[in-house]
Amino acid sequence: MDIIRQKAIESLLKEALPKLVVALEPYLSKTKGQISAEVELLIKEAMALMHILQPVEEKAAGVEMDDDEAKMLLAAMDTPVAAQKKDLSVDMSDDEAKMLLTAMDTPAAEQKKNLSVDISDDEAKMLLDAMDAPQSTSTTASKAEKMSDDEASMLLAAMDKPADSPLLEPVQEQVAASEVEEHVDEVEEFGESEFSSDPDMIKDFINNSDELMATLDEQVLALEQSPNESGIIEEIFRAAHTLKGAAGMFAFKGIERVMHRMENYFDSVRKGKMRVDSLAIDVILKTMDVLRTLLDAVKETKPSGFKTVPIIEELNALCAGKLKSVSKAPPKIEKTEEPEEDQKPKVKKAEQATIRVDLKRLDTLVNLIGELVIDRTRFISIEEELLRKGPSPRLASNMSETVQLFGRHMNQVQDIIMNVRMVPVGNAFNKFPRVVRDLARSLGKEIDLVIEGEQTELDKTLVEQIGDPLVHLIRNAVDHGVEMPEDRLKKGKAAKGTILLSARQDGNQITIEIKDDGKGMDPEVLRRKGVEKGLIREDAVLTERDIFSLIFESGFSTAQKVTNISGRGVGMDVVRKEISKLKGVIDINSKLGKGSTFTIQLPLTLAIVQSLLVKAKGEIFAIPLASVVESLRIEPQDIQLVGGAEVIKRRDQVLPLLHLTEALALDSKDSEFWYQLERDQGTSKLRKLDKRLFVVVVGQADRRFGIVVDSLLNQQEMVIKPMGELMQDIPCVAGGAILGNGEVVLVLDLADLDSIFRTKSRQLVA
Amino acid sequence: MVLPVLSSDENQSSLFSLRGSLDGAIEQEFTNRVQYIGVIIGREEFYLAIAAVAEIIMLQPITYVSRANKFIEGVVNLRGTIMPAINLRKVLGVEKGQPSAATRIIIVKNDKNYELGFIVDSVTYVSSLAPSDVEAKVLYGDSSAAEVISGIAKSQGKVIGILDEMKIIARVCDNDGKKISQAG
Repeated sequence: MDIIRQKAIESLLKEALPKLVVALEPYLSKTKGQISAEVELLIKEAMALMHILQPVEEKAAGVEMDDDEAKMLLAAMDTPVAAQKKDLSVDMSDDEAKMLLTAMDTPAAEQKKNLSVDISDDEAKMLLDAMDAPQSTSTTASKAEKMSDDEASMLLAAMDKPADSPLLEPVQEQVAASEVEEHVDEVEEFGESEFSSDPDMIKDFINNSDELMATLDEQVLALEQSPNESGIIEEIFRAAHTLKGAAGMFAFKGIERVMHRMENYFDSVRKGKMRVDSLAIDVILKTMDVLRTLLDAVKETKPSGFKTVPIIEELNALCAGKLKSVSKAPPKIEKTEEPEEDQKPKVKKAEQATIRVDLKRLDTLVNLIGELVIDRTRFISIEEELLRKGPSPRLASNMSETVQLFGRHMNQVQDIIMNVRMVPVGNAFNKFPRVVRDLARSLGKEIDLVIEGEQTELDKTLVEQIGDPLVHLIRNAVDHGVEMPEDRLKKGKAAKGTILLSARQDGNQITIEIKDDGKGMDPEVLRRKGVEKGLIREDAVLTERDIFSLIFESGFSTAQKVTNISGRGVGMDVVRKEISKLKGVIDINSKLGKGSTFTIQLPLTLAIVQSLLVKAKGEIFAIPLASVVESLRIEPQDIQLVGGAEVIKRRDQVLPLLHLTEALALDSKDSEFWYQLERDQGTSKLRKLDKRLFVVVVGQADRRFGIVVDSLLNQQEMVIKPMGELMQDIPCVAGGAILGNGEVVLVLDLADLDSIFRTKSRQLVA
Repeated sequence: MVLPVLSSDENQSSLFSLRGSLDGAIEQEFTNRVQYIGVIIGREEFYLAIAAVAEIIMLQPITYVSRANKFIEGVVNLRGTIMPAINLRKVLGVEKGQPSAATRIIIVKNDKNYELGFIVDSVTYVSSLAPSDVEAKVLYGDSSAAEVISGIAKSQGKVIGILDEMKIIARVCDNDGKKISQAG
């Protein structure tokens, strides 16, 4: 846009808007108390326009106006203009109205014209002239003389038309506008807009709206805690306003309309005309849900067909103060942040210089680095070969030097890329305050959700996938853990229950804890259930922990729910499955009457795994090092039989043993495997010590067991890869990984091995 | 088993006549021709449509996967991608074989659904057949081979079974009780 046109628009608006404000002032005082909220909002809009204009003006010296800004301006202008047309007609002198409408319509119409790319200079001049027009007709006339007659008449026509039409039916509109509770019809969800065809713009809109929705969510819940906090109300109002404007720009009419009502309400609130009560919060939260549906429809680029009228009517009623308020203490949501976050969160935000990167690109990068890790192990094996039988020792030592340096750099790159993928686990916690609030309300419980350590960082994939199991656990804690207020009081507890959701880093692992101070679980009851279900034998000697983990057995949970004894464990088997899919483990601790704690341990990342390579029956297998507790060398006579199961005693602890060859049925290899090539054994030529056995002790949560293997090789970083569609669901195998020599090794799935183990021991028991 | 010797004059000429000349009247026919690669499994030669073949590699070290599908020999590494290798001898019900210098893995690839290897004893050469050279399946009985052969090629007095890679995959999946999406 060139400067002339820009100037034209500016001056037009500068003239028109103050006039508009002045003109509306008397009208406002006349009709005070009736529909002033609407009009006042309009004045606000006008003022906002003025604000938007200011930066534009500053920019005028520059050559170009940002496209986005222009669009924003346009969108912002259209809204008040359209809305105001309707309201203006109430009782104003014709003159005033006319002047106002002319003043308003002209800039809007002209500006639209301006935005189209090809406007001749003549037209621009015309614009400049037009801007004087509303001021005094005489100037227009004199200037118009300089123009061709045609142009002048065109201009005049353009000016008159919008001014005339609304005045033709002032009476009807008067009626419509004076009612706050006007009748609402369904609108097209998606209207026509020049922007909605641009996928990049839509993407921007989606990104922005997601952020705004997150802000709204957070602030609305905060508002519930402190309904009079003007900062929060302002924040909500701003977010709602921005979202409305953006939706309007893209002609997402459904969103715009709902957002408009919400904005109205918060406008009244911030002016002190309304008070926020819990009923209002309910309506607002419902509105947020509707908005989310509508935004999802935008993401899927097809209308959801969702009816917005009910929520709009509800919002209208809310604005009119016609909803009956019921007082009920909402659950309090507390967020305790880590100390350093607490001190200056705002300042820290400003310091963050971030860049948005497409996740796909990042994933490609991570994958490539995974490949590089494999390459490095390959280099190492070449180096070894050179050292062993290379032609020149000098070449070999050069090679090892390079390999070492390369390895050091790779480590750094790996660290960085892993950090890049790390996001605060709090992203997964965001929705929980809402979940707890809604559920507690519907159950009539009072619950505080305390979130700790939300800044702890975790791989993005993990953060995304841990959400569902956590929701499950939290719902369980609300539903079955925390008691009703009266029961709590009877037991001498505070009426309000507390659920603590915390995350912390323990070395290479993340620990997430969900702790409630509810009724806890009764081991005796669980035990009885387990016997009933045939999961344990009546006289089985079990630790409390063993008993608690019964709730993870499928089929156990439903019965619990029906009998309503503790009810914990609806779909707990799914929770455990999902967590072990993430290479994590879950553990339970519970005290009857005191509450339960669920502890989830997850690896920091899934992309690159440190593994211990072992050999059994000539095949190499990888065991994720995070699960390895220790490795031992034992004599065959150390193995003792307990009820048919092999165990060893280790530091006064009984450790059950599992032979890898047996667990994987490796004995059938000889008959099944036809195409075996002679392998280059390399340096890993560990002499098999005739009778001794190697035991790798692995820990799955609190349960430890030993895996008996033929030999231990070495420790290596590897990238676990899928092995193709046909190779899914292979028992005990989590995937494949490629060694330095290009060979594929299988990575053991310890959770699977463990379950085989338990099935086996249960069979032995039965 | 005697492999066809390509250098002998007789074979050479038959190879050319198989391909047909590219000029004149035969051109029309040539466009309808389908190319097949000949593979030896056990004592028999089979054809495999070349459109399905991504590449042919030497026998790689195969990692045995116990408890996998019985037709799957194990997994191999093809430039960083791990894929299953299917033992065609087992699929066709041929007796146990040994790896040799001629053993090859034929990589069959469909960009969407699968990428896997077929282990064959050796690869002969590429033939292009006119539709008239191919007869629809005439095999009866329920031998393992009958299930995965989609037609029979008859030319130059030879009769060669044409293997259908989708049917092989389907058979492997059937055996597993699982289904693989076969779209595309």
